[in-house]
Amino acid sequence: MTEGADKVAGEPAKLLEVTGLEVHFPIRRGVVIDRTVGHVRAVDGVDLSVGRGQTFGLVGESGCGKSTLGRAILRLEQPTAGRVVFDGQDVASLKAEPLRRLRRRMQMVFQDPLSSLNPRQSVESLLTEPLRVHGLSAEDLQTYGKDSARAHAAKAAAMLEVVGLPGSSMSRYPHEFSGGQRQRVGIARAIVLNPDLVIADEPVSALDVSVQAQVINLLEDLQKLLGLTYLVIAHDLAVVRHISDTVGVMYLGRLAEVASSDDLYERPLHPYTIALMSAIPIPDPEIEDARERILLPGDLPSPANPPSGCRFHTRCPFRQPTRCHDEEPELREIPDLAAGRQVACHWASEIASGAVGVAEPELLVEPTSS
Amino acid sequence: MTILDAEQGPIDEGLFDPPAGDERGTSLWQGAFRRLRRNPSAIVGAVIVVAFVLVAIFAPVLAPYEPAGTQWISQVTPSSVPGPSPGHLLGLDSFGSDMLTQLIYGARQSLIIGVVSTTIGLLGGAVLGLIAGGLGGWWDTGVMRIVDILLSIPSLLLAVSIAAVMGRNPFAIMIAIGAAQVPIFARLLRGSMLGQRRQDYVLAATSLGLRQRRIVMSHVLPNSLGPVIVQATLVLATAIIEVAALSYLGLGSADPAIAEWGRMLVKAQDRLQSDPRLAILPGICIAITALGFTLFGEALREALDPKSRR
Repeated sequence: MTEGADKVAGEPAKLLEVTGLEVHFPIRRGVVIDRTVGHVRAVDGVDLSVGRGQTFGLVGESGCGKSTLGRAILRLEQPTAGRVVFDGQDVASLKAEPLRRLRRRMQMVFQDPLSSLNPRQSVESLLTEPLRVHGLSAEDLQTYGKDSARAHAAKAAAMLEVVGLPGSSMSRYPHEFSGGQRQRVGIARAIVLNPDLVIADEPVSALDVSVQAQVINLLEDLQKLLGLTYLVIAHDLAVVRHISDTVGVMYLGRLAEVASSDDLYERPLHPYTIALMSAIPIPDPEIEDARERILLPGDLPSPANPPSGCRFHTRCPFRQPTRCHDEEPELREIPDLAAGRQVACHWASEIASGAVGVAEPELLVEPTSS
Repeated sequence: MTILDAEQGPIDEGLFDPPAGDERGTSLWQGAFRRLRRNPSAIVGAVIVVAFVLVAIFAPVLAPYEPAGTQWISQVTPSSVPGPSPGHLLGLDSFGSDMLTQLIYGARQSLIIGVVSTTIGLLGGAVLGLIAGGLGGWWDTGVMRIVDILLSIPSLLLAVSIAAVMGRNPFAIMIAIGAAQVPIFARLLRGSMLGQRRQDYVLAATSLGLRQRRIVMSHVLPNSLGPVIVQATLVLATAIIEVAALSYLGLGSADPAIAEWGRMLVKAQDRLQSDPRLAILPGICIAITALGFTLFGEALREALDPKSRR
């Protein structure tokens, strides 16, 4: 694993740098003439960076904007504001044709492999189509010779082998595969252009649990083999921990906490992360019964009308009478608390030291005593 | 290869379930065809349709006499028309022609008009639907308003007006019937394309860097054609009925020598009391043909519908 590599080698070159990214969707009303009556702030000011060869995991509950963030980075959604710098180029402001050409270097793996594969295309057609559009990459031209249908088919066959599907799959259609096999086809399509960055949006959540680990392992093997950089979006905390070097926790369109995967899981700092981690069940009935859990009251607030101050203050078990409801916390590093990680909470130091506890005791589920 | 090591074999989840000896996969159309063959109403519909087409094509071989021969007019009296006899299996019509011959040649006329007018409607509607569904934005709004206006006119009325303006020739009737179908096809294709455009595979195509034109023409359009093709088979049935209706209203083909089921119905009107056979026989022909196309169309819809896929 590449964990800790950046600490040893110092700051590595960042492949992807996102600053102040916002995606707001207008809410329109009106019978004849549409009026914009508000905006859904799906992504509302996100900064993140991913080093070359690293994996950034993005977690958050449904509706927090993590998928929109992933799509906005690839500009499948038009960002309202902010910059997405991919290898020195601002993707967010790129014109259509340069953007289209840049797409060969940034690919996506989708959640539902069946709906993301055109049902009328055979696997061969699915895998060679990107090559017909962009042509073979420089190194593939040396391996497979000039751009031709035969060279494309050879490259497609090689990718099929890499993702672990038999060569006879070539002439088959998506509906003839199982879920895990389909996702392998989707992954093969994403890597056929030799991309630098792959954004995987819930790559395993539509799959059977028994298959999830295989697909995760495949993604990891491919990273080593092809030097890929990943942004993995998921709501499964275990999946994210397993695959990520760095994890970002998203809440209502903003990042609540960013830390290396081990740090985050061992010592969460943000109250939201603390609550999330306390929800992970432990596969041992005695420990499971003995541990404390924190319940979050209510639902995710509407992203069309986010709470003032800290977005999490309406549900935060550590809520304080001052600052929380009227001052929006910055995502900042707290050097004397924890170096190299960022958290967006005014009281992170106090919560960590125990000076600030859970305000309402009924939110704390005590160990079952019976 | 590190990637194919033991802990993660190539195929370890689920197994292929290919039909024995079938090396190639089955595309959606092949699958639909397979489901059609298993559906009894599709078989009945297909048999009727094929029989109808064969009768239309081989009319000169099948018909016992020349069409529109009025040589037996002397047997027709104001009060009665000779019924079935060994020489004329279905009797004579009110002009003294052989009924069976007229019905057989009528199939030919219905098929030509049905196919040509449906094709006109399909092509016109497909072009409008493609513009609306493919370009979107103002094009969509503009085209769909025109389609709404066309839809607000009853289709038969539209057909009657076009036939009235263009005069009584066969081509005018085909255009009239086809034009009435244009807005329906346009709407159907546009709606189907809008539905497909929201699918993830379109997003995937964009993220792969395909050009917009290619995405629409080679991904969205082929996936949107199913409902349109089903509609075309159903419209064929309607077109055959509408030809009859236009003839009935006196807007059909002006040439009395061309046998046509609709006009046969009209002419039977005066003798409905004494010889209902004259109306019933062409009526049955129209009904059976329309039924055949409808059965087949409905079965095709079921076969292509992803929700009924087993």
